[in-house]
Amino acid sequence: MTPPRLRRFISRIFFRLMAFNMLLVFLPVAGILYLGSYEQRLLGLQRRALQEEARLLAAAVASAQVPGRSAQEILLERHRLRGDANDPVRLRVISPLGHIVADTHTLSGAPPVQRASRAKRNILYRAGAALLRPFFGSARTLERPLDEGDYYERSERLLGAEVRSALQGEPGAVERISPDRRSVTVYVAEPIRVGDNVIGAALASQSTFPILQDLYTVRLGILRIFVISVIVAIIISLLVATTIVRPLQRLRLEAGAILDRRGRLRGRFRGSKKHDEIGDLSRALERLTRRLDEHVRFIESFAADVSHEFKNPLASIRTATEMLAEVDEPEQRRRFLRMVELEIARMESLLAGVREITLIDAQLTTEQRTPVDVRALLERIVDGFRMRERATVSIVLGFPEEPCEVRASEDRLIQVLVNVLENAISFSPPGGVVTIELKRQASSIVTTIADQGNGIPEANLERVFDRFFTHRPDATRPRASHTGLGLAIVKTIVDGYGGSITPSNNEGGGATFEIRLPV
Amino acid sequence: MAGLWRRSIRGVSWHPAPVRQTIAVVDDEETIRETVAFALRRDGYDVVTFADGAAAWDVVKDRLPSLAILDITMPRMDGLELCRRLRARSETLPIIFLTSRDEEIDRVLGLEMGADDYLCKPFSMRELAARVKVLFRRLSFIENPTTQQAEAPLRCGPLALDLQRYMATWNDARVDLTVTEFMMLHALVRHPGHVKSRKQLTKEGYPNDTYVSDRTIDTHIKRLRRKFEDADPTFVAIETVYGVGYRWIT
Repeated sequence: MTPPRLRRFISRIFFRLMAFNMLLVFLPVAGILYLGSYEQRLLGLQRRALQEEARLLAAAVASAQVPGRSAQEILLERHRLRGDANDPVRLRVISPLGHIVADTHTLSGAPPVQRASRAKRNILYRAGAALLRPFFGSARTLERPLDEGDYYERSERLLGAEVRSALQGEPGAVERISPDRRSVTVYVAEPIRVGDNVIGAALASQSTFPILQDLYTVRLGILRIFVISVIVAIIISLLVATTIVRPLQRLRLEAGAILDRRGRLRGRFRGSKKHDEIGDLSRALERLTRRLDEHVRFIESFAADVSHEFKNPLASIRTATEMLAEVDEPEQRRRFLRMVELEIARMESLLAGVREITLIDAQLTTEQRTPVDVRALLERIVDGFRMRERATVSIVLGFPEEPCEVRASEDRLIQVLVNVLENAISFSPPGGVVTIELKRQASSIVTTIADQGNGIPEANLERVFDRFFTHRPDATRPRASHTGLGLAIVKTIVDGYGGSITPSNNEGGGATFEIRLPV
Repeated sequence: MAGLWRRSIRGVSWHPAPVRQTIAVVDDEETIRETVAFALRRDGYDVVTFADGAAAWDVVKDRLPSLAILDITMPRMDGLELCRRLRARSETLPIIFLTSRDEEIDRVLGLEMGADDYLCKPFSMRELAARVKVLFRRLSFIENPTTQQAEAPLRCGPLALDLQRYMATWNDARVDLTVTEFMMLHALVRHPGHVKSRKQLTKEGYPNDTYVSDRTIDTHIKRLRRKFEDADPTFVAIETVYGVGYRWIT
């Protein structure tokens, strides 16, 4: 594996989870290390116990005063007291020349050869020992090399360091490797004193074998737990990986599939029904891509709409100018020139509307909003309209007593009300009535503007706010005077303020627009 | 209708057909309607104008015009519906669509509306007048196939192009083409094996420098192939030369 690939592998969530789980698992190993020192303490305890035994034996033999026969009896007595054929402690009485005067083993016969327990021969234990030897081995090798216990056991005269030391009056202790070559035998010798004379030595020996066996069993238990823990850790890591890493991988694949080779948005996240954080993330991504998708669509369709809307006046200008070049009659020329001027004016108002509608979104987020009294605003607007439209349409107002304030930009609010009112007036028959009503509700100010025109065909109710949408089959004014952007601008502003605008048809004919703005 | 007809101011020499031809212009754009009507009247046609499909249908259902020029997006009844109704009345009535959206071309062609031609806005009035003339010529050949002797058609393998009637045949079976398609096909067939770029094809299909996008040319070629494949499933004569354009292979 090349280094970058390795680095990528290590940085994978699965690998990290695995590492943390493994760390937890390695804690029992620290326990094994601790058992090392526990073993040392056990050895010390054993040595002291043997010392006790040797001292007791020495005192007993000394008090009997005659070594030899009586020593044998003392040992026999003790042996009886213990009543254990397999007593691990071997007591011997040694003459000053090193001959064995008495030996517990001659009383009961040598204990059966102790074989290494099954624990130590366990393949699992050996594998663990091989792994852990670097930690333990260093501690062992620092000790002085041990004598071979084997030879010592078989020789006629026992003159080991501890016995010599005891015969000279000092207690001695030595550890030797047991004949089984796996455990250690501790030898403790005590002088047998009668008065100031040392008449022999009491030698107590015990193999650490049983203690070690217990230790090995404990270690094997820990090792078992360790191995099981490793397996469990791997399983948990895999489980966590499948519940976390797999959904993440799916998200990544989805993300990769969303952009095509040219970097265009092509699809979207599918979302997820999961209730965990990854489900939240995938839903958030789904919302994000949906919004992005909408925006891209908006931009694309907007460009198409704009180009479409400009083609009509352009076509008019083109055909009219072509005619201008071929027509000489002044009256006709004037007529075509007027057409060109009209269409140019229409393109200008289209441009202004397009600019307006693209800017509103950005401006709505940055503009200053102040409390605006919709009632006062409507009164001002209606005054202006009454002066202009006096002859054609009358406007009826229904206002509450108190002012109706909303937080908004006054200019934007004027734009909303004027556009809707203009729309209503333009659909009104001559002499029609436009009714404006203002209501204060719990959390919103509701303005309704109703006209007496032909109403909106049901199929178009949804579309009246679409950009460039106009439906004026009986319009007296030419198509060119309506950009189809007025209500689209209104909708953008009202939505921007968190309000709503809904068109509906009146029962008695005509259309009503209901504008709700939050207080 | 005769009262609406005005004589060409410049006195362009055009000999009115024995029966005056009436053209219906249906477009919700007043300026376009008026200008087109003016130009066509000047060329000697009778013109009736309507602001939407429904208004047009009310009148023309009883008196079919000789030719119809239809906008597609119109209130009340759009051009496609009007075209369908007109087609139901007459198989041969030439219909020209005016479109302002690229997608609309696909719709017109895809729906097999039987449009004889279409122009994208903004179009050239000269272009429209030329198309009208071609369609009337084609119509007169269709209506009186025996009285007029055509020139020998341009032949290229199983294909024959009648340059006067703007008619194409493949193995002597007629293939209905729009005027634009015919002109593009003619450009390709005139020089078999030569590659024509999309620009050149635009010039051929729209001689009066109308702006047309490359995508529109591709749509035309696609339609041409489809029409010939319908007549002969083994048709492979129009080859795409990637990055350059198209050519006719024999």
